[in-house]
Amino acid sequence: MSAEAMIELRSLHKTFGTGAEEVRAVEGVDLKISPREIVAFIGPSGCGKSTLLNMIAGLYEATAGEVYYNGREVTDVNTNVGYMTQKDNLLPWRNVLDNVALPLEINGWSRERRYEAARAMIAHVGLDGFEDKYSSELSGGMRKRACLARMLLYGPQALLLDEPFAALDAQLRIAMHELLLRLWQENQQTIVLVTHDLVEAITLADRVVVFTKRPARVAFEQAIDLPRPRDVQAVRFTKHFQRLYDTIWQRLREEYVEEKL
Amino acid sequence: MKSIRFALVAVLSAMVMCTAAAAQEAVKIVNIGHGYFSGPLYVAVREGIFKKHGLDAEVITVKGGALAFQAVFTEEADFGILSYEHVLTAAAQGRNIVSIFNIADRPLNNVVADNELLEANKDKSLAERVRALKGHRVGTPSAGGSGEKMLRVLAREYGLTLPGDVELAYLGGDPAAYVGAFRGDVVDAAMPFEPAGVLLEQEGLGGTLINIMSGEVEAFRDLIFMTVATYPGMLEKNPELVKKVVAAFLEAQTVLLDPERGKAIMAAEFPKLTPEANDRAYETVRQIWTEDGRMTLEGAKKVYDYLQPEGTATIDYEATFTNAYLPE
Amino acid sequence: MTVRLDTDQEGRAVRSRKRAARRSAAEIGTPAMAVLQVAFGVLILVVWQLAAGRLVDEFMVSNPLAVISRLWEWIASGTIWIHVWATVYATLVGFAIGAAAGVVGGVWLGLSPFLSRLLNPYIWAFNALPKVALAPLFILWFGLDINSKIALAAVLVVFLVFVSTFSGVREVDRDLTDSLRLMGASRSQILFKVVLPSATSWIFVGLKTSVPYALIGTIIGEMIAANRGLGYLVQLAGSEFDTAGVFAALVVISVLAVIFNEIVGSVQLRMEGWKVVGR
Repeated sequence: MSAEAMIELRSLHKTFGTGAEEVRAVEGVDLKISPREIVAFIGPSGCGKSTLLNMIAGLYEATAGEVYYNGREVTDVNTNVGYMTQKDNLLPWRNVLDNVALPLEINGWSRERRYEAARAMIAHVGLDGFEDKYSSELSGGMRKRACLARMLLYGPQALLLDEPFAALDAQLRIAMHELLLRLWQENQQTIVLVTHDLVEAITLADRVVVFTKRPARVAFEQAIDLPRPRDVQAVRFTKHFQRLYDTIWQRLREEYVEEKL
Repeated sequence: MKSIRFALVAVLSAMVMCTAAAAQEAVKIVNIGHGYFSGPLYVAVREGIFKKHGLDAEVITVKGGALAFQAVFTEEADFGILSYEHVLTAAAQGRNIVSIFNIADRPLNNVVADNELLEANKDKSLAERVRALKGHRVGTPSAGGSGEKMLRVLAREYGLTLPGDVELAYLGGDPAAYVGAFRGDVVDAAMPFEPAGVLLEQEGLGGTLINIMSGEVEAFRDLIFMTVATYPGMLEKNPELVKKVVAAFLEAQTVLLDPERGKAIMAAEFPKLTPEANDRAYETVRQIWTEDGRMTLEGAKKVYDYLQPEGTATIDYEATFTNAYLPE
Repeated sequence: MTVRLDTDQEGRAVRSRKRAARRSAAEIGTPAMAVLQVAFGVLILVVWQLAAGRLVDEFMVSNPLAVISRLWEWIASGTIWIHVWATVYATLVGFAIGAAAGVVGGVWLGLSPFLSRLLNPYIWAFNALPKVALAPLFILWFGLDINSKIALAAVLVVFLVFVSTFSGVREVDRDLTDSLRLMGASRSQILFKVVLPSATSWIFVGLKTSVPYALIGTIIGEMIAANRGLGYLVQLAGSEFDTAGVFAALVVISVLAVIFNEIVGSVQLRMEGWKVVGR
């Protein structure tokens, strides 16, 4: 891993609203993410993980501190990242092909070229045959694949994933994990994954960062030294995995318990 | 040779027709509703009299005298069929338009009453008939409108207190409303615009109690009443057009007054009236159509007397009407 | 005890039969429904015909046969078409202008929080005005000709379309626009690729609702100052006590309204085909 960070958060603060309605979402986060690293953010809900992603994406402006992407400060919408949320943001009035080709359309590619590229990506994620379907005709898993295809089509160097698979059932989720890792092996993007699911975090990530409850600060980081490539189905049952799980869960629980009080 | 001659004639006649058509001056005239009183207008259109005087007339029907006044005053229309009452009312507010031809010299209203009142006052004098309205409900077109004002004049003259002695109801300008009102027994008497009275008689609901249109009441004869009016600018910029329009109306009026022709033309204009109803309407309204379209200062003042329009401007009567465009 | 059980069972049987009847009544197939609709219409006409002259004064309501014969008269003599065309033309142009202005205004204000807050009270105040009261004013401003009818139609349409468009634009999913921003889309790309398609169904609601109002605006304008048009016919017939004529003109107006509605509906269907496709 190179010493130069792909994504760097420096003394990051974010506050919403003013006065009595003030909400401090993020308070003093310092973090460095290397290229090709998969990092999982985990913590109690509402603690500000999504806010952090939005700041890396440039959708929110920092109240204090900076976000650096590939060496440059993020001040505006960061079009170099791919973003995927729990909700699929497919345009319901377009079919799969037009949805997937959308980023290329925005960047002025001709219809022929962008359809060609889109079709290739659709096949790559296993959705071939469904190009002319609308999202209302697709199952949840298929829609996720379409979102993945769209996100990857313009070849971003980093992917921000905000609980993308939370709405899927367990089997489907495993299939998605396999797909994601396969694609990552091919393209070697930097991935920041926000999740509630500790199993998912450990399965996929090189490093798990535990955040405190709101306002978010880094509570604890754990390197995941499970060997790659990982068998998504089997790895969770290994002893190594279990040890990592217990370590992180201990710390994580503290954040949750505090919240309950 | 023959074919060349034929072609020449054809071309020449086409040119003549084109120039004749080009010589047709376009003129926009507004009419208030589809009133029976606008007889000369319908005659002029139907008998090609406008065309004959070199006029290409477009007639637009507007709802209400106020709208007609507005159209003429803003020069949106060139000429309008307008009640002289509107001309005076506007003049009292400092807005001037000019009547150039008098279509009718008496009001369009009669006092009509239901059969009961009619029977009870069959051969009574005018004064008695007016007083017979005491304690009854009377319909007029609008609050403070000319119908109500005329009623006041009658009341004042013949010993009735208004409102007090009479309950007033406002039924609007459409004759249909009066038929409905009598049918529903909403009023016992009314002062509608004709041919409401004719229609009431036709429906067997009542008849004319006081025949203003026949000239029974002195205060309501020899007036300037329903006129063709235009805006002052027109008189300045195109007096020739004004002359043509007046000439057309005069000719149409003459045709209209001829019972043989007039009746038939009005029947064609109002196809939904039964022949009997049309006859009655024609005979009734014919009483008020003028012979020659002339207007008098006396007539103007008489209207002022009963109308009493509100306004601060002093009225220069001479500026509100003119006979100058009538042929000598 | 046994007796009570029996009656309860009976009651339940009756209720369930009723429920079944209601369900099947609602689920009648389309062709059968069409037949019923026609039959219903015929029934109304028959009742009207019988009531006229007997229960209600014919002067007030005329009768269907007279209305049909007046209509036929107009069609056969060809006189109706100039009036139909005048009304249709003014309605279409007024609708087009009002719809365009409403959509543009709705999108513009929907996208600009500042402007929409600034203009909010004025818009609602104007919306509350009975716009037909503007009719004489419009005659003053736009003249006696067709322009005043077009203007009246347009002003009635513009508010309805504006309000729906505005809501539709505001309802656009933020996440969708954000994802496009991340793809590097410009503001106009976002407008045309997300905002407008997303707001389309709202816009169509506005358009469909406003079609009859475009017609109403035109008709009112024709009733107060015109020399052609269906409103003019209504006024003319009314002034001559031709109740059959009034109804005949109203029939033509209703037919036009239905036709316009169908047209907008089919355009909507074509543009929103993706909605119908479902699982």
